Parts: sequence; C-alpha cells; structure tokens
Amino acid sequence: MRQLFQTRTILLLITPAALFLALFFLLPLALVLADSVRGATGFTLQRYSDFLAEDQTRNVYLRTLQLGVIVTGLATLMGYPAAYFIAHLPASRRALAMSLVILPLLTNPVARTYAWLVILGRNGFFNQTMVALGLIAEPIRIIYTENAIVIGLLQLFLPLMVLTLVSAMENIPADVEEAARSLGAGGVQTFLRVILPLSADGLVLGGTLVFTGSITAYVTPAILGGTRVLMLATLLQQRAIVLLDWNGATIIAVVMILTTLVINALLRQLRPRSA
Amino acid sequence: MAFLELTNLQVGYERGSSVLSDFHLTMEKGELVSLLGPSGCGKTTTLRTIAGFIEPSRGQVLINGRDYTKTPPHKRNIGLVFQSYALFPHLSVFENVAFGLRMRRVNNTDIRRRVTAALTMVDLIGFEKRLPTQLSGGQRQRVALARAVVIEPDLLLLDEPLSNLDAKLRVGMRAELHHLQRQLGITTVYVTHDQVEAMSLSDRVLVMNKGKIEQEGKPEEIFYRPATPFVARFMGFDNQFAGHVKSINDNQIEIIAGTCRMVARPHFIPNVRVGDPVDVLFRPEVAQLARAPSENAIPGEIVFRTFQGSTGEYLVRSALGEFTVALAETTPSFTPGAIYVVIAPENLIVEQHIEE
Amino acid sequence: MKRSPFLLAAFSVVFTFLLGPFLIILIASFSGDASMAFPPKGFSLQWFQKVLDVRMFRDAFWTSLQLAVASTVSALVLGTPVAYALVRFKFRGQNIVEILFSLPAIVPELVLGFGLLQYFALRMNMPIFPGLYFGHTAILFPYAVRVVSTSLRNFDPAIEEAAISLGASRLKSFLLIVMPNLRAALLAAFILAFITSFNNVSVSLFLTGPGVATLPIQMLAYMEMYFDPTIAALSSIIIVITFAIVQIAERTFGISQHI
Repeated sequence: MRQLFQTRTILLLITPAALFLALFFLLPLALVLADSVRGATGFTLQRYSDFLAEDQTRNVYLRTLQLGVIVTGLATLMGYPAAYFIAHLPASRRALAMSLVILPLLTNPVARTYAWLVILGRNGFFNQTMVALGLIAEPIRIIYTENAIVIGLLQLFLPLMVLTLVSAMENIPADVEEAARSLGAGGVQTFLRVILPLSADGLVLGGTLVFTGSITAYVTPAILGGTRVLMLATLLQQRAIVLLDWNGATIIAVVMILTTLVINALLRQLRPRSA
Repeated sequence: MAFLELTNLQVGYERGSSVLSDFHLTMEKGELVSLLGPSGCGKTTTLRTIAGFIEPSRGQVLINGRDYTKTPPHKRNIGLVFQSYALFPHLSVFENVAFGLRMRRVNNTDIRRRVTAALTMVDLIGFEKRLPTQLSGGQRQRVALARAVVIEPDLLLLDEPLSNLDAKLRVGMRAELHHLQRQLGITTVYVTHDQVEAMSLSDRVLVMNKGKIEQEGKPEEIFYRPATPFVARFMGFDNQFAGHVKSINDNQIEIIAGTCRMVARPHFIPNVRVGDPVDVLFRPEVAQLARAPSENAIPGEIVFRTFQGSTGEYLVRSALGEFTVALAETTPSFTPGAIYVVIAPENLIVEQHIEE
Repeated sequence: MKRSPFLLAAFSVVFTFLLGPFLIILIASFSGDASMAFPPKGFSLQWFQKVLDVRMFRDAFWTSLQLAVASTVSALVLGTPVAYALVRFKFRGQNIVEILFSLPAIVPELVLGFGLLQYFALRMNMPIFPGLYFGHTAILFPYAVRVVSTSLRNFDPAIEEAAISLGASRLKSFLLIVMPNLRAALLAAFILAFITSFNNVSVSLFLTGPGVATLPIQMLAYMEMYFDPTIAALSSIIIVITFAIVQIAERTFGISQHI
C-alpha cells in the first residue's frame, strides 16, 4: 500500500548517502577489480594464476587461511564457556562484564598489539616468568612466529565471538535448559543437544566475523609477524608501498575481497535463519 | 448533505487481493459510526485512508463537500486516537495536548485556555506537568483524547482506543467517551472488534469482513436481525445447524434437520424455496433445556457443564452438532445425561446455506 | 551448571587473556629505563613526558581528531535518513539498500584504502586528507545506520503519525518528535564511530603522506625505528581514555543497549 508522496521521500532520504558510497566506496573497489583483470590484450585472468603459481604469494595465502581457521577454532573453544558464564550473570554484572570484554575491540590496535610485544619478547613477561619458574632453560622466541600472530588475533577477535554468543544465548529460554536437566541430561549432554543447536546461529555469525577479520587483519601480523611471517594484509602492504608493484598489489587486494565475500555468502547459507 | 463520504474506495496492493474494494460510507455531522469486525477485515485501513496515511488506488474521500483524497494527512483537520495512545514521551501532558494548537500557530494565551478546557473535560486538571511515563493507562488514554479534540477537528477517528485497558476501566471510559462525543458533537468514526463497545456507543454500526461491508445499520438491527451468517456469528449467534426447507410461508419456515422438525418464525424470511439447504442459528442465552420433548426440541446429551458466575454453560452433543446453552444460575442444575435443547421459533434465524 | 568451577575458571582465563595485556602495558609505561624488560626496572614518568614532547605525535593526534569528528558527523548526518527510510517504509529494493550500507563492514578496509589511494590520490592527484575523510566516513556508515535503526524500530510509529495528524509535516515531526527521542542512540553511535575512526589503521595505512598521518599510523612508524616505552606510555593514555569514555557512556545512558 502506498503512502502519500512515498517514493519521493524515500529517494530524498537515501540518495545523498547512496551517492557518497557509490563514489567513494563502490567506485574505487570496482576500479581495483577492473584493473586486476586487465591485461595487455584485454580481459585476462593470467595474473590470478600467477598469484597461485608463485610460491610466496600462494604460501602466504594458504597460511592466512590456515591461521584464520585456527583463530576461529580457538575463539569458539574459549568463547563458549565464557559466553555461557556471562549470559547467566545477573543483569548488572553482565553489563559490566560485557563492557570489559569488549575493551580490546575498542582500543587502538597498535597499542593492543604492542602489549604483546612486551609480553612475548625475549625479555618479556612470558619468558621471564617461565624461566623464573624453571619451566624453560632460556627464553624462547615467540615474536615473529605464527604463534604470536595467532595469540594477537585471538585477543582481538575473541570478544567478537563472545559478544555474538552471549547475544545468541540470551535468546535461549532458561527453562529449556532446566527441562533438559530435569529429564536427566548431564552438563556435556545439555551443551551438545540443547545449547549448541540453539546458539548455532550466533556461532556461525561469530565465526564468520572472526574468520574474515583474521584473514584481513593488518596491524597484528605487521607487528607480531614482521617480514618473516607474512599474511595477506602485510603482503599487500609490502607489494604496494615497499616494492611499488601496483599490479601485484591489485591482485592481492581482489583475492582478499573475493575470499571475504565468498566466505560471507557461504556461511550465510549455513545459518538457520537470516539476521 | 453528508458530512463524510467515502465513495468507491479501493485500497490495496498492486498485485493480488485488495484490502478494501468498492467501499462506500456516508455519515452525517455529529454521528458516531463504528467499524466493527475481526482483525484483518479492513477497518483500520479504512480509518487510515480517511486520515490520509493511505492513498486509495481508486475512489474519493470527501469531508464537508471537499475532496481530500490527495491531501496529505497533516493538512487534514482530523483528530486521531490510537490504540497505543501514542503520546509524545518527551513532552509533558500540557505540551502533548498543546501540540496540535502549536502547529496551527495559535497564540499562547489561547493555547493555555483551550488546553485547560480540554483537560477539564477529561478530568485531568493538575496533571499538566507530568510526563506520559508517569501516567496510568487510563490517564494516558484521556490525554490522547484531549489532544485530539482540543484542535476542534472536523472528524474524530478512534482506532480501538480501549483495547489496552483492563475490563473495568474500559466500561468507565466507554461511558466517558459517549458523553464527550455527544457533548462536543464531533463526527466520529470508531474502529473496534468488540461488539459490546460498538453496540453501546454507536448511532450506526458497519460490520466488516475481508474488506467488504457485511451489514450496516442501527445497533439493534445488527444485534437482533443479522443479515448474513458472518454477522450472526460475530454477534453471538454461536449455535448453528444445517437442514432443508420443508415449507415456507409469510412468517414461518419449517425445516427438517436430521430427524428433527423445527419451526422458525424469524424476523426476516430468507430468499429460499422448498428443498433448499439452510443454516439455522440461535444464541446460547435463548435456548432452554428440558427432560421431555416438545416443539422445536433437539435430542442430545449433556457432555460438560461450566460455572460462569451468574450463568452456567452447558455443552450438549446432538446428532445435529454441538451446542452451547447458557442458563441463569437460578434455574435448577442439569446433570450429564440425555436432554432436549428447546428453542422458541422466534429465536431462530434461518439463512441460505452458502458454500464458503 | 551455572556456577560450576569449570565455567568460572574458563571465564577467568578468558578475562585475564583479554585484559591482562592492558595491565602489563600500563605497568611497562612507568619503566625507569629504555629496556623492554618485564618487570620494569625503576619507576619514571619520563615516557609520558616524551609523548607530550614529540611533535609528530601531537600533529598526528590533531589529524586523527579532526578526521574522526568530520567523518563521524558526516556518517551520522548522511546515515540517519537512510536508517529512517529503512525502518519506516516498505519499498522495492529495500534489501539492496540494506546490503549496500552494510558492505563497508564486510569489505576489507585495507582494500578500500588501497583503492582510494590508487584512484583519487595517485591518478586524480587529489590531496591525501580528503581521501582519508572519504574512506573513514564510508566505513562508519554501518555503525550509524545500524544503531539508529535499532532505536527507531523500538519507537512506536503511531507517535509520529499522531504528530502528523495534528498538523506537523513529516520533516517537522521528525525534528520535533523523533530526534529528541533518538538522542541516546545518536550519542552511542557517535562514540562508537568516533572511536572506530580514531583507532583505524587499515584504511589510513595507504592514505598517509607528508604532514598527513593519523596517530595509529604514526605510532607504527615510530615503532619501526625505536623500541622503547614511549609507545607504551602513549598506548596507556589511549587505553585509559577509551575505557573511561565507554564506562561513563554506559553509566549515563547505557550505551551497550544500542550496539
């Protein structure tokens, strides 16, 4: 049913912002995409196959995906119990807990990652403590390894997972759990058969956010991985700024977008209901 | 001349069924007309079209002779009262009521005078500075009413205004509304799904179903002489059975239903001939229970009895279907078992059987 | 299961893991010497002093501040009407609009920065700062639209209709009736977007040049050359301020409900 003057009003409301996005968001992206398939003689996918053929780029890509999966997995494992705990706190405590848990998301990424340098460095907190406790003989090298990157990314994205899981769990009626319990289900059973399926939607959403965030992150791999352990984002920066290889950088950029979009689309299919 | 006229209104989606089709309504000044029907029947749509929030794809809205069909809602001089009251949460009671006057650029002295008069009418003097969150449901409703009438609108439109109030409050507010409308003489359209409200408030009632008017008339007409099965059921003719016409004359129809012979003397004889299938309806309140057969007795068995306060409700199962009989608690109780349901011929309504 | 020791332990581990590093960096910023040893030797405020003295940090702070204010305000001014249109009306193409305005949250910011650099800065010779502004505003849209939409959805549309029926045009009704009730949401959106812009690295990474560097980028540059607690001190300041803002926002108007 039409309200009076509806179309005109809607256009007025949406056009300025839409125009802005079209010019300063869609256009640059479209141009990057167009550039990536432009060869000497027109349309070509050659540069993509080069990307996959070249050892360094291919390995970096695979490593990025791999670490993404690891971070997502760890975030799930650690996130569920924490989210469950928070979801069952009384309201006032819950708000406090949530505002603290999301702190990493709101802090400056450089500051946040720098903290890990301090902790994981040769003379850092971790090594010093381990040596003092006699667990290791001498400091081990953690910075500039894949492990460091995983730790850094986990600290950033775990709150995101917890956030979505808490939100999903808040929608599970309390009596469902109690019903399961009264019917004889133990802790693990209740989790597997009741909580997990009912929060699956939140899990998929959280997983998508964590995974795509991890594979596109820049600061954490830059500081904790350096040039030794490159991820897709740091590789992009290297090609573009350091080596001035615009063509190569363009391909990496498009690979990044496409991977993100494909993952998003795939996981949207998995979700029982859409948001 | 009619004060409000809706002609040939068609409101609906571009493709598919319309919400309102070929809708007509005329009202005289000062009348209160109710649009009565179940949810989804189009009564609220009609109201919103009069208010201007919906543009009809065909037809006209005429108020006092002027065509308002294409006029935007804020330029129509109409007072609206919503089911949810829709008070402005950040404004005081005074400012809420004054809003319409401020939009009309009335000066401050007049605003104060008129708002005070409106609040006096709804008995809320002293509440001027309160915020909506500090008011009870009934008080909020009265503010909404004051806000709508203070602008001296051409029309007053009410969309189920009493639905959110509890039962006792509803009865009280109903009386106040009736009194107010009579006093001010504003032409009013009242939307409701509650037939008691419609009956007690209206000069005329329109019963609506699926975008069409099923019956239009004075409350007594609708109540005692429903013109269609839908209206009958809506008005409380809860019991129904099927049969065939055996004989028919000026004031009486004889019906064969199962093994029963029923005589009906309804106030209107439907357009049927001998042999046609018919539906016969009667109210739970007019039926009697008897241990012995008589004229118009349907044999059956009492299955269930519930205590309803001043009445007892009996569920009787018979070959013709299940019937509810409501008896005053002063009559002796009937225990489960064989029984006859007896209805006087005048209390039966006979209608053409329509395949739905 | 609610109070099981396992859950409490799990939560504590997560809590420590997420917040511990901030505590450590706070401690490290008071270190007496330049070595990055932990626990730090000595106690000194020299690094905080250094932060205030270093010119490039001050300049970068200004740049970030101006950028954040400009892009946040733009995103809110442009995005609020969109949120209104999406919530109050049903129209063809509604889905596309919703997707369009959530795209900036899905597309990697790095790629956007790269694209803006390529086409606006390099090929069209536009100065850097506008590029930064466009990029930041674009990525803030989803915040503005989502937060305002949520608040609008909880606002009874009948209230606006009441205002309109009493003689207010849709615009007047929006300004006089809707906006005052959106205040909390707008504030929440502002804070969230502001923080996001101020902290942003991915978009700003490519859009940096002589005289134009945001604070996080400047911090990265510094770290490439020096490794001392200066960054720790600066980080501490930023962390404490962020924490304070969020806590105050939560106490005064419950910002977490709007996210």
